[in-house]
Amino acid sequence: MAGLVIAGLRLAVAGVFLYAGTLKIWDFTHLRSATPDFTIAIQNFRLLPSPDLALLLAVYLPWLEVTAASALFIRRLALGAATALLGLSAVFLGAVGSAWWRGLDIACGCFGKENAPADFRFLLLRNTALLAAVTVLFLHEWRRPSPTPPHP
Amino acid sequence: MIARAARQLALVLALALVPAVVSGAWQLAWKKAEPLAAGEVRLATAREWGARVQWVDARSRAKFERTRIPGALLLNEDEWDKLVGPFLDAWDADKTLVVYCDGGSCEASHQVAARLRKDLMIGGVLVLKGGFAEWQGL
Amino acid sequence: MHIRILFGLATLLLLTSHSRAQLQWDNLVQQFQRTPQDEGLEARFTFRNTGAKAVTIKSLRASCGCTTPRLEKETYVPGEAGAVVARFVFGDRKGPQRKTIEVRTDDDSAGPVLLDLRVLIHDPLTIQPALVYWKRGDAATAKTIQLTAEAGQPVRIKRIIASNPRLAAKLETVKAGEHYTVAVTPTDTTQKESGEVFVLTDFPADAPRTYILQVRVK
Repeated sequence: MAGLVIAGLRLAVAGVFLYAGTLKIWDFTHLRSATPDFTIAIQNFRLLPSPDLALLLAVYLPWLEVTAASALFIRRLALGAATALLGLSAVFLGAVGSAWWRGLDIACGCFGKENAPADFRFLLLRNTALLAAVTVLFLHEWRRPSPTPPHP
Repeated sequence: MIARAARQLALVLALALVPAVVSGAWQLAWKKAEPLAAGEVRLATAREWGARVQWVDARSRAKFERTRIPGALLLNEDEWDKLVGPFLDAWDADKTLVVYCDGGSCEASHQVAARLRKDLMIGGVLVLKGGFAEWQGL
Repeated sequence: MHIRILFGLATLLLLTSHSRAQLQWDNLVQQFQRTPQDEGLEARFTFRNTGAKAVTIKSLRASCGCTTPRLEKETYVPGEAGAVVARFVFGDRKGPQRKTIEVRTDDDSAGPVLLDLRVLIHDPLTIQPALVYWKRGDAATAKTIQLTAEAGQPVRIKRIIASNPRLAAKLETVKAGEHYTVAVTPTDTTQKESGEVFVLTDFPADAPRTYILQVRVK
């Protein structure tokens, strides 16, 4: 029973990060790179000291999401993948919380004004649920015995 | 236990680096291929001109005050009547004016450039292709 | 065997439940004419849900920060009508303006809808050019600015005032109410100068406009 729950969580968490990561890499609506939009989105959080850093993160983070999501299914990498996703979830939650606290408008794509400001409560709730799911997976992988043979 | 986690984490982080580097390099190369329209200039070219360029910021005052290209003068259509006087005081007629706005689909830079050319009859006004986003390295 | 039938039914249900949802717009393009005295305008883009399903408008995105769209509510049941109100603040804009608003709904089978707002902000007096300048060392000869009123709307220039005595300005009436010139002559071009010429008109009658010409020696 516990095995089924873990398998379900693994699938769900991997699915979410795979989906989210892909959308940050490629804009399927306009058929172009999504990196410029994601870079601006990162800058809207006003947490980084330089725009170059935002660009680097905008290129790397989505691929980390996709790689870690895929690696969840590889026994030898699952713990590392869960650790990475745990870190990402915590950082995302922290960033949204910080933006909410400072009253930032993170919905503006800066090419025009959006009608509705970001719904912070929804974002915080969603990211907390994600963090909880990832934490369960992480703890499962942490406690799982190592597949490598014991030293002679 | 921790060593195992750390080792696997390092491997995942490194694996993700490969497509990220490829993706980043591809995007930089692809950007250079986009054609220029009349009256536009690429950032690389404008940079080569160095001190000969006077940057003109066509965005809102709020964005200008938050961050801008160093040395840029604010001239937007919201406050044109109020801004044009101070702009012309600071204007060096020997410099090439390069106007920018957000980038992407933003039209403000073209509109301000058109007004500089038509209303004020200032020659050699150019628009920065890719706008402020290009300056930030996007 | 039963599982396969169930799977087939589920797929069928999934496909057919995607009935066409639709918002029918009365006018996707709206055109206006205004003057620079106007502060802005509001345009109502009305629509009706002519589909079989409720439609929720997910986002409104304007092409410029000067145009703000708003909605009374987000979800419209079949048969219900609504409107996107676009408020366009002119600022100091002149001439033909085009601002678009991209509307995205939860049914984007045909892609996002573009609302097109076109305004001609029309100034009856045309000033060409609005700036005259000399570089230091240039000959201190006069430069002329043409002020032309459009046909059918006479604009009389009452007088002009030069803010900088070293940048003298002279008003000539070519045809009263229709065509004037302002000739600007610097005393010399030995040093940098900055000045303005204020052009006082009689139009519009309730709040006559003053135009500002820019003069520089660089």
